Amino acid sequence: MHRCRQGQIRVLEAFLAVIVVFSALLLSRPLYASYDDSADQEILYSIGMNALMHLDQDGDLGILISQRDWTEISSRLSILLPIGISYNLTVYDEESNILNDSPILSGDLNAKSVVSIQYVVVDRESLNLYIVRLQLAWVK
Amino acid sequence: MKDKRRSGQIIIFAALTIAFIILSTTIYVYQISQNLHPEDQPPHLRGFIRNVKIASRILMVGSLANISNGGDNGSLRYNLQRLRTFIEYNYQRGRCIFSFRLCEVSPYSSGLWIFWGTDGFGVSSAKADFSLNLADEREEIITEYSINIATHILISATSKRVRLPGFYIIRVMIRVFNEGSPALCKNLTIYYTDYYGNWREAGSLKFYALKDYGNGTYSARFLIFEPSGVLNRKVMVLCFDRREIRVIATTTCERI
Repeated sequence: MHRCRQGQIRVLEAFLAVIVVFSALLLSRPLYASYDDSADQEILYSIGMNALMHLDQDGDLGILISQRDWTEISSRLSILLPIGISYNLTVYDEESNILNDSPILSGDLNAKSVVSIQYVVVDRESLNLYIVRLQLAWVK
Repeated sequence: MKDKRRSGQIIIFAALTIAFIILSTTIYVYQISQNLHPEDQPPHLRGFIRNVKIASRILMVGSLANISNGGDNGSLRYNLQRLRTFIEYNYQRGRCIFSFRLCEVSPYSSGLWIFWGTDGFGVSSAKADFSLNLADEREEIITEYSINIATHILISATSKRVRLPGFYIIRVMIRVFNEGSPALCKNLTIYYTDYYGNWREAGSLKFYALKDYGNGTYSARFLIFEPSGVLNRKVMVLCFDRREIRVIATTTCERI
């Protein structure tokens, strides 16, 4: 009888030990999850910002906006952004009016986290000022 | 018997130790990853600062191109004031103060130095200092930077009498620079003075050749007919760099 009880206690202790180890694993998981999410957003932000800066090299982006060449902007963005990222670009003038009459996008932005980048553009020919808003998300 | 009782406690103790190691390792890795670049600013701030630097640079290039092509000298200040208002208005993550100071140190005046000399040197340049102050409830970042846009050319010319009477061969050497480094130009036009001192375009001559060395150096060669000969013949080069900035230089031909 005494031996039987001892065996039950051993099983309980083992269960307790397993619970302690698994609870530690469960506790540490949200920490990783939040880190992964913020790191993902930072990566997206850096990718988007670098793409815009590359596009704006020598003031090309401003010239393309002044020419209302949305197709060219879209195709250049598609080349600069890696596969697996969907985007939507909106161009505003100095009075915050939307300039692009056709959407400049690729894929859909129904992801868990969407990064929005605001970028100031100068057209070196007409010296007009624009705001470009680029929204990015990982493709699901 | 006593040892057997203790073995259960050891299991619990070992489990607690493992849990402690897991938790402390996780926290350590998380903290390390957070402090990977402690000297860096948040990415959105870094991105915004880089964006403002690029925008102010492009605006200065555009303004200088406009001024060197006959635009008003005051347009540089006016355009930078527009950019300042635009940037301050569109920054939405806190307070933003963007200021600039046009260079007034000689040879610059109101941020501009446009000198199209007669000794083979011509320059079109704009220079300004900028300050960007970004602040939110947690921190304040002040970034200061200077932008100097300069296109200059150096030219030299020689005039040589050829065997045919009244004919001269003119050779012009042109070097183009952007911010002190050799640069390509978009368009080059060469003029020379005739016997009466009138400027004539060399490109319209029958025997005219322009060679592009691909490293910002150009040479032109043309044959002119001047029966009475010209003393101190002048050559002028009008250059547009790839940013549309105009610069002119004039020189006197060296007779060889």
